[in-house]
Amino acid sequence: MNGSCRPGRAWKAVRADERFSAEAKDMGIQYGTGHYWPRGEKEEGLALTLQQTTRARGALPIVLACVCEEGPGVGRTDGGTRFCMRLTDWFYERALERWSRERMPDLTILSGELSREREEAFFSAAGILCAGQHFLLFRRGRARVFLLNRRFLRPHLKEIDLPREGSGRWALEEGELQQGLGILLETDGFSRGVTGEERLACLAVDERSWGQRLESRLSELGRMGESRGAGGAAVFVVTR
Amino acid sequence: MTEQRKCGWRVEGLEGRGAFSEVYRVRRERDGLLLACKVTGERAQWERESALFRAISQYHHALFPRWYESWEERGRYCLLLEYVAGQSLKELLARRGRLSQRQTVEIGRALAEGMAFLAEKAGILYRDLNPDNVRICQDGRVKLIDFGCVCPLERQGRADRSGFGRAGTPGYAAPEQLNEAGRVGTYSDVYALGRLLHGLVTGDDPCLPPRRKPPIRAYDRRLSRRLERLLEECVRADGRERPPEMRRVLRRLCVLQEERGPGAAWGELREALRRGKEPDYRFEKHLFRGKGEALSWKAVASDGKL
Repeated sequence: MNGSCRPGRAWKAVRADERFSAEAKDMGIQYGTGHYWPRGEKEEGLALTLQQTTRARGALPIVLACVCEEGPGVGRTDGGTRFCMRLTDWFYERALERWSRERMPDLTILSGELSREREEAFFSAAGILCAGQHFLLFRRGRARVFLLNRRFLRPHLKEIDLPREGSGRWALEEGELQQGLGILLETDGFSRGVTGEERLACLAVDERSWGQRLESRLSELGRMGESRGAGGAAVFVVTR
Repeated sequence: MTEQRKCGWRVEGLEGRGAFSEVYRVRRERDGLLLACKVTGERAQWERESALFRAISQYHHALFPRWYESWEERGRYCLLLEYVAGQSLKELLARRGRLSQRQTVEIGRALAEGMAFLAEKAGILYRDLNPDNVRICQDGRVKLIDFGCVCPLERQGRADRSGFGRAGTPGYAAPEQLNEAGRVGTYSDVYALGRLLHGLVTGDDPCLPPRRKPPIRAYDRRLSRRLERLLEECVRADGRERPPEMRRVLRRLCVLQEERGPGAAWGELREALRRGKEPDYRFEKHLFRGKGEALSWKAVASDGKL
């Protein structure tokens, strides 16, 4: 797992010894989440999981979000849907239980799970696992990941280019999300229906309604894409 | 049946009686092995079953009872088979009413696997799939019994019924099977499997009217859409519109079997937390969307409890 800081990254990279630092700084963070899901037959070949919990003792917020899209043509094997289901099951069966026993989560367990995923299953996916301020981004195939940044005068949207190591392999990134940052995950189908300017204009909402209005704006964006014949799903996780 | 054979068998009792045969429990005196002896006066049926068991015995397939011997005695034809202890699906349904989706898919998968094997390895069409002919052993294994209606498959999965006539159980037999002129094939067994699984998961007897049954989710909304689509395709009146062979049904049942559903682990965790003294987590959002199946739930407890 590479924890070194990349040039231009808005989040703070995490050193190995920082992972087990005091929980206090994680307690103040809160997450807002939302998703977009298409209607009717456009939902074919898509899968989405969004799980948000707060650990009652210590109030550590934990979020799992992922979107998957099957490969095109006759090669559809439901691999993306099954992956999303296994990921969700893993989240509840292993991850939460582990976090109930340890002071800080070890996000590398997710990377271990991902490495077991068959590379030949033909689907693309983008996901994020957040525990407190720490996060792990994972992506494969054509799914896209954007960083939402409200820390400047105007909201800023920038695509995150995770290193690609081949079409079937997972690209991983780990770091800390600070206040004012968010992650938007899109399937390739969703991305093809909107432009960057439309995306930015739609997602520029004021700070007070950062989470709630963002979801309704995302729905507008998705329906805009649908009207152009595109289909796809998206999910976001923002700090507040 | 004669009370005792010279080679050291003892008849313990009558296990069951069919239209043309009787089945006895017999015990080998040498080692106490309990077997089933099927006795019939129909030579043609006996020859068919014997040939079938000879053909498949080398594979030791788990779905079929093991065959030991066949012989003729004073005009009665006997078949010695593995004794399958357990209950039939008919008895199970009478007791329980219906089975869960998981149990139905497991049974369906075992049957599909066996019948695909019959068609591909032995070139045989079963033609009489119904709850009476499926036994569930005490250890959970599924066994298919009674091969009196089998007929050979020819080219392209079609069967030559000349000399075999009509066969099947009303309510389970495909429309073309009950029609003398109809062309039966592997898709006919697919129809029977679809009707059987529909009856298992809904509790609605296919032998009772109406013949055309509602989709399974009309009985229970929690059932899988994928299973509903599969069963709906299997029981189409036109054989060309059904999955053409059991192998394709098997593949889809395998996918269903892996489909625990994202709510399964969450539900188990929630129950575990309920039993505990204090909940560890407050669940704020629990959402899964995929393949037309939507499962969404949102719970925020004001006092932190679920």
